[in-house]
Amino acid sequence: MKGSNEEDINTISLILKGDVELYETIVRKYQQRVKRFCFSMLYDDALSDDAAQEVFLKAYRALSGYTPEAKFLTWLLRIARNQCIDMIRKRKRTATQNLEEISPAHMSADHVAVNRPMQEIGLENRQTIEAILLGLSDSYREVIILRDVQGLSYEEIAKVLECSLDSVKAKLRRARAQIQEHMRHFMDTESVIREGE
Amino acid sequence: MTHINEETLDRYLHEELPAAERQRVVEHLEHCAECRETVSVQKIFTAELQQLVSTKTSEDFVSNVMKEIRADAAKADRNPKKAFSIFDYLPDLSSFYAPQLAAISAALLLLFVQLSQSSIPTVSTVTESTYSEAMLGEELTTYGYDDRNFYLSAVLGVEGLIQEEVS
Repeated sequence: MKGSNEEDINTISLILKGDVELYETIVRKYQQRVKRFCFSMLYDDALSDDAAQEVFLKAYRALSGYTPEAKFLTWLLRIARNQCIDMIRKRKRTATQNLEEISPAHMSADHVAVNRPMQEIGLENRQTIEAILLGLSDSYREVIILRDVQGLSYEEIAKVLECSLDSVKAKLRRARAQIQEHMRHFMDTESVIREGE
Repeated sequence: MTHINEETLDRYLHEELPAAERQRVVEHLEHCAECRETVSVQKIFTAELQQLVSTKTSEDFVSNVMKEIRADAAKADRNPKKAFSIFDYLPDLSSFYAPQLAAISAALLLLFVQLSQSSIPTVSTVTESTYSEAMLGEELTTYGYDDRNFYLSAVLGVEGLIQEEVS
């Protein structure tokens, strides 16, 4: 995907000149990455689909404000992050849902599995990864997703999260330390079980 | 043994290190079991994480977005953004009737013509200003030659009347 930003910039300039149909190439190119990012924040398949659609609409409406200083994906993920934060806040205000149902950090692995029918959850490893991920604070999980799933550089993550480079490095270091600790504990436990078998 | 720091290991796994530094990490990993384990744990975690969030968009995702975009574009075509104009911010006078507007314009025109022609001061202004010579001087410098003659005759007339009354 690297090196394609110039292509994006050309496409965007044509869209801004009136070739609306070209926006479809942008949507096709980034739909999965935006959806995955929304999913990692909302933990609800249908909701993250709606969120991703809204992201592309908002991006289209704000397209003239995009400056090529940042990669288009970075800009798009910033919109996605704000969209997800808005949706989480709105849900928090809804009386029918309580806080435990909303915050991914408080959700159980079972709840996640129910909301993700396309996932073939059942592997012990995956459930462990899920539990570790959900055990991280929102800001740590966010930075891990941007780095390990979206493959962004430290500088790009700083742009998406609108924070300093040092803050990104610190969050990533602490998140990795927690992950390492949990993973090693899990792997040790698993090897003990295997030895017992 | 000094271990490789987290950031360097992270950049190594994301293939962001320059060749020389990458080689240094590779050599270190050959001799350091602890760093090897750290790398191995992170690789497992990242691979599983990518599987975990490998959700896909709905089948009608692109068509739904494009439908909204086309509607948006059509709306923008119907209501194109106008260039800035001060008249957009002034009150709308279209509700006024034409005869009323004509009458107001005529009245304003007349007022303007009258004001531009009435530079000669009124008598009351003259009498009020003639009791002080200093004020008279000031007034005289304010007006033209013809007006000055008018002022002087008025002052002399009023002073004559005052003297008659005193005597």
